[in-house]
Amino acid sequence: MDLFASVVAWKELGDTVLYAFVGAMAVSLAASLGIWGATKYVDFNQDGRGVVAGMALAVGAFGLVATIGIIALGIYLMVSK
Amino acid sequence: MDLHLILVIVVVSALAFDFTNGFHDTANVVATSISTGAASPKAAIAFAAILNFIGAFISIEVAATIASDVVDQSAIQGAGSLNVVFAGLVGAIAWNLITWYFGLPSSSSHALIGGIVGAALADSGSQAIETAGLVGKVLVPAIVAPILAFVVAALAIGLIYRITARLRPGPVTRGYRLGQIASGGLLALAHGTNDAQKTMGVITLALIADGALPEGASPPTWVIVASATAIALGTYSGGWRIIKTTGMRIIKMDAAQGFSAQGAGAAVIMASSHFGFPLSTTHVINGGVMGSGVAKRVSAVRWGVAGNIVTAWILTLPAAAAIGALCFGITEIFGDGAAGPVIISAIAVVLIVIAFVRRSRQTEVVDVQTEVA
Repeated sequence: MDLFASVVAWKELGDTVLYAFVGAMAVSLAASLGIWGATKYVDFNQDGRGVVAGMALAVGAFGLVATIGIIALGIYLMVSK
Repeated sequence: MDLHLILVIVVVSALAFDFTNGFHDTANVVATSISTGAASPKAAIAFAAILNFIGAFISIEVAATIASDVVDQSAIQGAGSLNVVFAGLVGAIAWNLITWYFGLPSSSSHALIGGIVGAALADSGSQAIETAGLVGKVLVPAIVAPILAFVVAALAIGLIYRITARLRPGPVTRGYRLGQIASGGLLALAHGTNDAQKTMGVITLALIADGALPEGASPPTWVIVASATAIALGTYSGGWRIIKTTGMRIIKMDAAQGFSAQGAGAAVIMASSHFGFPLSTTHVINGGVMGSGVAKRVSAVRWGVAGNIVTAWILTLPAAAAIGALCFGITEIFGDGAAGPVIISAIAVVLIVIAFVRRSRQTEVVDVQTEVA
């Protein structure tokens, strides 16, 4: 047990777990919002609900921009390692 | 002259390992994209090979630690040190090819570490092994990686299904397929950055041992270019058998599951690289695939296949170590000269040709394409 306590970089391990969780959930949420917004925009538009369709489009655009931002952040972290 | 010949053999062996690394790990990057139809097999592999090549140039923070963290360098110095590196590489290449032959995704990094540890043990006994490094940087991460990716991918797919449950399936599938191209690209870039450096590190160490480079030198440009090229060519050759296992045999994957497995995998690998906690790409991706399957329902995962994969992971270190030790023992029969490495290289080439002939690549490409269709 002492061996594990002394040789495992617990802080780095904890940070890896935390940031992996946050990163994966963030990219999943952002991409899903993008897809939700785009799909709903088409559906609402077909129903003639222009205002709601515009709001869905805004959510979709936010999701898309956020997804691209997270990917760019990932590349930046890799390059600046 | 003899020492230079061994150096040439070590460099060629390191590049051969790099090729098998790319070949073996193609599945980590492209399997989920291919199985969900996000990209055609050939396009996915060409894309991954290019990004692997670019990734190798992103950082040249030498990964010589692959050996120095687990093997006491001072214990294996001397005339036979290049033979230790050579035997370790042969152990790693052999294990990569054995697991490829059986279609099992196993860690190339662990194979390399196992091979070098085995050869160093055979050369200098247990004092050559850095137990703390082996436990802290290899064994614990080997346990953490798949579990972390499993949990993160399961939570991610849960979130995805919650948001997209009531949407029309067509646009959802197309959207996540598009997302997979981006997440697969990130994985390929990360893979090139991490894995090509292992080869650069090994070749640099060999050049230093030979006296061609001063101690503490960075890898020369030709080493970087050669390593990047070898891993990219290996990736382009495509380990179709492993692609089939990771992409189709563990679970029957939809596009959202593929995206969650790749997205979670990319997040885990990037977080671990950033904080200096090394994790195996293979363990991460396969853990992610299992997690994204189990979140749908436990029986969605083919546990027999998953069990075989985990068994291969457990066997990787000891098996590569045993082959590395055996190869070192054979080289020692012929002394510290080049005769041992020359004979082992000749035998290895013959065995590799036989293995490749038996597992014809063309059949496997057609096989994967048929299953995707």
